[in-house]
Amino acid sequence: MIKEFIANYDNILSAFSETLIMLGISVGVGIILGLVIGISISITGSSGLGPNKVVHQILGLGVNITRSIPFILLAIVLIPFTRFVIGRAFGTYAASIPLTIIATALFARFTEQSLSEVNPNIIKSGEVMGASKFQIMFHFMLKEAISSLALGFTSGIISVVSYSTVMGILGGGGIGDFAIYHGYTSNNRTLMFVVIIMMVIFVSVIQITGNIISNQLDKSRK
Amino acid sequence: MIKIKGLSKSFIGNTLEKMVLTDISLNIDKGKITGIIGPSGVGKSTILNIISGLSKPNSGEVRVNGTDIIRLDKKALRQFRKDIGVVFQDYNLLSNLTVFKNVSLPLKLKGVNKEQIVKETNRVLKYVNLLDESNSFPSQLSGGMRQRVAIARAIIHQPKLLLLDEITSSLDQNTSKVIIDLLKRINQELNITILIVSHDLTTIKKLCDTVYVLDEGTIRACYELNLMDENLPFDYKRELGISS
Repeated sequence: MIKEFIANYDNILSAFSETLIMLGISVGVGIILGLVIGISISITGSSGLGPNKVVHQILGLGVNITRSIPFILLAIVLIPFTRFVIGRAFGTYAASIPLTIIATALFARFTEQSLSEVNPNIIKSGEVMGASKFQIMFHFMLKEAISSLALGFTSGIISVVSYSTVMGILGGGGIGDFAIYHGYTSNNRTLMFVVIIMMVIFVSVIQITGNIISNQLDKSRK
Repeated sequence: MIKIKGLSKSFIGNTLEKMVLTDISLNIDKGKITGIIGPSGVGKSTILNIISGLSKPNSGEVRVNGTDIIRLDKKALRQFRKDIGVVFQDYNLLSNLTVFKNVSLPLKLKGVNKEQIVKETNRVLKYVNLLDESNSFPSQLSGGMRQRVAIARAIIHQPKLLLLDEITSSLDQNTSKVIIDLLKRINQELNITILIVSHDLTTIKKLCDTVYVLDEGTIRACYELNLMDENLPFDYKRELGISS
C-alpha cells in the first residue's frame, strides 16, 4: 500500500488539490449564502422575528428541492447555469458550482435548525432591551447558536466532501474521481484503498476539528 | 408612575379561550417598590409581559408617566423599553458571553462608545460586587451570582423602572437576602422604581412598600407592607403554606 502511495504520490497530490479547490469554493461561498438563507428562513417562520409565510415557504421549498434531487442529476441539470456563470461546464472550477448550490442548501438548513434551538427567552430578553430584529439576530440568536452552528457546518462540510467525489462527471477531478478512475476501473484495488484511507483520515480531521471548535465556542457547560 | 386600568388578557388554548387577567387596576408609585403576590399561574408574569410590551392585552390601558404604552408603535415601544430593565425568573443570560459582555449588552445595543461601555460596565459590576467575575461565563457562577449579573444588566442603562419576575424563587435563604438587600440599595441609591412579582411572601414582605394580591386573574387586595400579614385572604395564606 505504501509502495502504491509513493508511486502515485504526484497524481494523488494533484487530485487532492483539486478536491481542496472544489471544497474551498463551495464551502466558502456555501457558508455565506447558507447563513443568509438560513437566517431568512428562521426570521420569516411563524414564530420568527418577522413572520412572512410566502418568503418562508419559497426559501424552505428551494432548500428542500435542492437537497432532494440526487446530486449527480443536480450537477447535470445545472450544466447550463454553470456555463452561464463561469463560461464553461467542465473542469474543477465548473464542478464547484453544483457543489456550491448543494452546500448552500445544506448550510441553510443547518443554520435554520441551530437558530430554532435557541431558547425563546433569550429572544424575549433582547426585545425588552429595545433591540431591533437585526440586533436580536446578531447579538443574541447567532451568539447562542454558534456552537451548534459549528457542529452543523462540520457535518455539512463532510457531506460536501462526499459529494465532491462524484464530480468526475463534470471533469472536476478530485481525489474521489482519482480513486474511481485509477483505482476501481483500472482494477488497482490497492490504490483505491489507499485513497479510501486518505479520505477517512481527511474526514476524521474535519470532524475532530469541528468538534474542538464547537467545544471551544460552547460556554454553556462548566 | 404607572397606572394600570381595566386590564384584561386571555389566551386561546386548543379550543377554549382562557381568561388570565380580568379587569386589573393598580398603581405603581414613582420611587417605590411595589409587589404583586399570588400563587403560580394566576397571571403575575403576564402583567410584567404587558408592561414591558412583550404581550398585548385584550383591553385596558397601561400608562407610564401618562403615555399609554399599549398603543405605542413598534419604534416608540423600542424606545420605551430602553427606559426599563427586566430581570426574568431564569435570568436569560447569554451562555456564550462573559459576565462583562452580558452586562454591557444594553449599552452596546444603544450604540454607546467602547470606552464608555467599559467604564459603565465596570461601575455596575462593582456595584453588584461581581467585578472579579468579569471574565467568567454564566455557567461558572452560582444561582445568586447569575441573578446579580441579570440585575446588573437590567440597571446598566439607568432605567426608570425595574421589573422583576420571581427573582428569589430558586435561591436559598441567604442568597435571597443578598438579592433583596441589593434591590433595596438600587431603589434607594439609584432612585429606580421597582415592580416585583412573586409567590414568595418573605421576599415580598422584606422588599415592598405596597403589595397587590393577585388570585384567579383579579386583584383581591392591596396592602401597605406593615399591614399585610394579618390581612391576607385566608385561601391565599393556605396556598403559601402560612398557618392562619
